[in-house]
Amino acid sequence: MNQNRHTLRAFDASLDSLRSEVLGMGAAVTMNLERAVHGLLMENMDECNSVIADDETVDQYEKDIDVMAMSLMVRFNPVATDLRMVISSMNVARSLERISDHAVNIARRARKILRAGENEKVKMVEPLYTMAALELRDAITAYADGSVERALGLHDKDAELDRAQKKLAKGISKLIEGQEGNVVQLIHLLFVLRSLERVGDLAVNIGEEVVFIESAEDIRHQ
Amino acid sequence: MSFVPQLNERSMNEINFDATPEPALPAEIPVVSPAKSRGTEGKEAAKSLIEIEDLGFSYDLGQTETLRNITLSIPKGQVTSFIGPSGCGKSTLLRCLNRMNDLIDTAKVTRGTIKIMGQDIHAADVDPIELRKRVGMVFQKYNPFPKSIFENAAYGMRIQGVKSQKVLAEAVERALKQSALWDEVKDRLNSSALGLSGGQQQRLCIARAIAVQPEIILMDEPCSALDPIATARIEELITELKENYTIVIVTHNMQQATRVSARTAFFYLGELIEVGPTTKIFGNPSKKQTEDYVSGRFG
Repeated sequence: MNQNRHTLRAFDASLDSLRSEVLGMGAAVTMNLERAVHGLLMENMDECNSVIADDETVDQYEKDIDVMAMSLMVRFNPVATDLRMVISSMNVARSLERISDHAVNIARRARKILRAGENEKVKMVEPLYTMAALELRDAITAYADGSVERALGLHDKDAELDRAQKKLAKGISKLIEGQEGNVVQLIHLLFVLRSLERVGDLAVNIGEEVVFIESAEDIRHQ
Repeated sequence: MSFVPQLNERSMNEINFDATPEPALPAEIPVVSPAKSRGTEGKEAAKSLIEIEDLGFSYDLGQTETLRNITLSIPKGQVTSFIGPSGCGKSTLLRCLNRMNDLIDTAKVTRGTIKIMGQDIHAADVDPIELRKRVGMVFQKYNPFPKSIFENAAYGMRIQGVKSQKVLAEAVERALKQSALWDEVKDRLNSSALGLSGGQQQRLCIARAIAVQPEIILMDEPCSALDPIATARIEELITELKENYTIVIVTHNMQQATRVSARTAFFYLGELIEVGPTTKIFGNPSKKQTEDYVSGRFG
């Protein structure tokens, strides 16, 4: 991140506002994901409902960030790091919005699982959630601090999350094949695990944007 | 709410992880080579027309150097922009390219060389007048002569000694067409040039410069006195002219540099800080000074 301030202070103020808005969105998305999983694990239907309702707030964040970024481009014609910051902030917002959509998916699945009665297999969501939440936290921190090192570290963390998700999914698939337990609940659980794995992928995408902002290097699809 | 479950032994042990190793990928999966870069790496580099090497220049007989250690190559058939804060030496360097600074008594090149097509322009056998025929110039403030439109466009030809009215008329028409002014003035070629709008007067000055068919056109902030529409017309003209001429433009308008030039050189305090493709200079400059200047962070 270029630490020098712009001669035009309004330019700095607009960039700071954009960054703050993305971080605000990151906090809202983190909270949504946390409540979705908490609702499932604690069998709290109200919490699941509020995640679904609060997704609108995240959608609004995304639209506001687009408006702010566009206005910034029109008013200040950003170049170099500033331009990458503006474009990548929009991309980060896109990834965060999709993470929130996954939180909603988890909340919807959770409601269906909870309606079908207790199932102790839901506990397996917890470690996977922890990994995904840590990835998301790292991605948002990397964006806030402009830390390429932290952003690059997300790849290894995500590989670990992918491995854990595959193992858990395989275990559940075996139970489904053997008709052990409530098959419908287990299928919903498979989708929850899948959503958490996707959260990890999207956190990696955010990390890639951070690398682009800081070093102008496009490391996507490598 | 502060719910952040920890990844601990208990939660991991409660889950029946299947220890079966991941199946290996079948050997026959084709290995796809990475997509070929669509960049311009493979493109042949444009041929250099102007070579500036270790140039030093002073306005006061060498007491203080306005330009220092400038080494720069300007490719043929492209637009190159010079950018930098006021007083950085970009206009001075531009005027060095056709020895316009010779008109100042105390100005002198203190060291280094400027070569155009391999010929040192300061060599004893180079006539500055002949040089300026090859290296035309357009200034910040449009400055047509108080003569007719035709006479302005024909001026360079006349001082070269061309007398044939037919040759002059052809050259004027060609120059006015190339400067995108012909359609607007063809019916009033004998009217005073001073009756034209600012943008038209500047295009007439460009026509005057190109009528003698130079190889290089130097432009010193050619649009700074024009409105956005007239500016756009000049920029469009620059884009068309680069097909036939090598253009070097000094501009304070950085969006203009990004729009019209293929290469950009950034100067600061008489030194060349960075030169490269315009997209690189404005997208990801190598030097922090360049980044600070193009992004408006200069002290």
